[in-house]
Amino acid sequence: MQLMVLGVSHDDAPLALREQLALSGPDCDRFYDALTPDESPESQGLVVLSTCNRTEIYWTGPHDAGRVTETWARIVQVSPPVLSEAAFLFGGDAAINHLFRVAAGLDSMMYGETQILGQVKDAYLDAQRRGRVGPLHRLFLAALRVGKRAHAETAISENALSMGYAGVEIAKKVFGSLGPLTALVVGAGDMGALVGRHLKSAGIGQLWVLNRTPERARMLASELHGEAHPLADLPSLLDRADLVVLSTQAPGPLVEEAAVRAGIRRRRGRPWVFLDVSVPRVVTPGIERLSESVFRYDVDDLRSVVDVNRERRKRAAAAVETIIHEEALRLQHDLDVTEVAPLIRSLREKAEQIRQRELEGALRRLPGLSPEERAVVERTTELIINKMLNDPMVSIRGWAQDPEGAVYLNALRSLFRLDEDATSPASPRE
Amino acid sequence: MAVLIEALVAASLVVSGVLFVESFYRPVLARPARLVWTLAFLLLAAALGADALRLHGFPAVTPHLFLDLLVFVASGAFLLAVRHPGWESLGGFLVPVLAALFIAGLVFPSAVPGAVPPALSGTWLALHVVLAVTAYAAFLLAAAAGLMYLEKERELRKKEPRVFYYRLPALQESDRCSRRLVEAGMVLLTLAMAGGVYWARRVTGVYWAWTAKETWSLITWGVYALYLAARWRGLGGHRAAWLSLAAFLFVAGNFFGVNLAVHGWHNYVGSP
Repeated sequence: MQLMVLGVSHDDAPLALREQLALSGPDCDRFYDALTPDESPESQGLVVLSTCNRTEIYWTGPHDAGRVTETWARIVQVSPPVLSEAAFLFGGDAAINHLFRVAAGLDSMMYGETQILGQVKDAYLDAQRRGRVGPLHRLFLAALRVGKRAHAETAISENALSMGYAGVEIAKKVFGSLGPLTALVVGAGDMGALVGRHLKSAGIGQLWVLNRTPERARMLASELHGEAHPLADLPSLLDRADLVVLSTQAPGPLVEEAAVRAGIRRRRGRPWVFLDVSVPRVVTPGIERLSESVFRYDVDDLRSVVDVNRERRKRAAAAVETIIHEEALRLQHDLDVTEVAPLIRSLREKAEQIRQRELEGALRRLPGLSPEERAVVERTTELIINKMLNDPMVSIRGWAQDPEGAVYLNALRSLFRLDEDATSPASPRE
Repeated sequence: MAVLIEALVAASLVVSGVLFVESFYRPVLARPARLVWTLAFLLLAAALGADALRLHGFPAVTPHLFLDLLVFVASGAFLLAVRHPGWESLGGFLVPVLAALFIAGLVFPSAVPGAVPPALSGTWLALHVVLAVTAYAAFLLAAAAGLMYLEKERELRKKEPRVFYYRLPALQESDRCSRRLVEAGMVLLTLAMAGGVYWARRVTGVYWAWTAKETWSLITWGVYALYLAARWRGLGGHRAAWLSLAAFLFVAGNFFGVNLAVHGWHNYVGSP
């Protein structure tokens, strides 16, 4: 099976071009229709993977890369040279490796992200609905397995890569579930809104939004099903919130030592987390030294946590590469065995036909045999065939995985005059 | 045969302890760690069963067997904890301690010289010992959870995520867990002591004789009562974690100090 992939991704193609080249909706239908299978449809597979970061075409069969490029360019109305310029083309093992890396998130902008795995699955299911997966079936199942294993067995998709999310992650490390907690978001700007949304999706119990202009506080609060408060309420709300997120411009500190000291007493040792993402900072540094239950993170702290997280993901990538390697070998083995299966079957069939024919003749010439004796004769012929074929079978399976084995396989076909139609594999190797 | 099984238990506890610690850094090792530890648990169950058959009774009449039982109960509790996400990391803190306790127990002879005195056998003894052992196991796990709290807190406060930041349960979870374990341990210890008092009255005619063991147990009980009183008044987090560790020293003192240094009723059969 000669597998090819032609594609563009965020690595080489800018967003504007990726948008133009995307094969979504009707374009995708037209593309599948334009590349209809030829006379041997069972040997052809086609899967289109199109997301906002990449559009990739996996195929196997007689089409050459030129025809695929030309078809694609025509449908999205881009000149073929522009497409060729931005696209990559891999064949064989390199194509397998590429799909596996994509499925595991190693090729993503956000290293190790999990969304792409769902998109690979959708692309596969879409092609399956169209009846176009063909021999790519095993490849895509293997890719989905790689993605699942990468997320389950390694830390590739663990730990936050953005500051906003890292803050939420720290809160989870302190509190566990955020369900019973109250969070206070000071500043309804972009960063405040972002952290607020992260908190909401992490299941925060109660959310208060404070902003200098009350209108913006109300807007964000209504989006997040929280409560809006004027900024002046900060002192009275401060120690009732377990998690305080501050992302605002202020001339001086908003949270000072005295307020925290008083709050610690009232909170009676319950943890208290401050995420100060304002520049300049609005929480006085050092308040965390007032009590072991107070945690304060500023922008630099969050950034260093993100850096460590990213390093961890990178280290996990080595483990993912191992998984990719294992699954590639396994896929190769499966494909090879599938390929020689028809040859083995026809060899067995031929032997079995000869055995049946000769056995019938022999038994006709020996009419006096008792049923037990007939059974012994029959069994003996079976044993002879099985023992005779045992070594060739082992050799054939071995040749299937040997690049030079094709010569022997062909020799075997000629030697036993195995019917070509019956023996040619469903997906011929190049 | 018994010696062989004990050597195997010790070896598998040590190996799984090392694997559990190493799995903080290499998560793939968590599975082999669990497997080896399960093996240790099953072997220990077999060893205790063999002891029970040999003694025709409850297998806890020597310090050696008492420690075996403690390790067994604590391992069993860990069996339940492992199922909860994040709590597998308890293994890295608990299993090395269990390995050390088990090996410490090997120092004591396991054989009983002569027959067990009738006063030291029967259902009351079994009940008393099981309650006490389970209480100790609960206190041990509470201390381990306290240590996990402190380690994770240290990385969070330094703002330098290393290992525990990623692998240990959230601070408040460790805190809650430690507290519940002490509460459960207190109930069990109280029952064990009440049962002991009742049993002593039946065997000796005296409820309470102020032996070293009894006195020390009362002190241990008092220390944990103080811990719970403080927690009910709102103590939590950092200080509670330290307190759970300090309180466990009294449990350890109760067992090692009193049993080794003092002779008397509780001194089991065959202590030095």
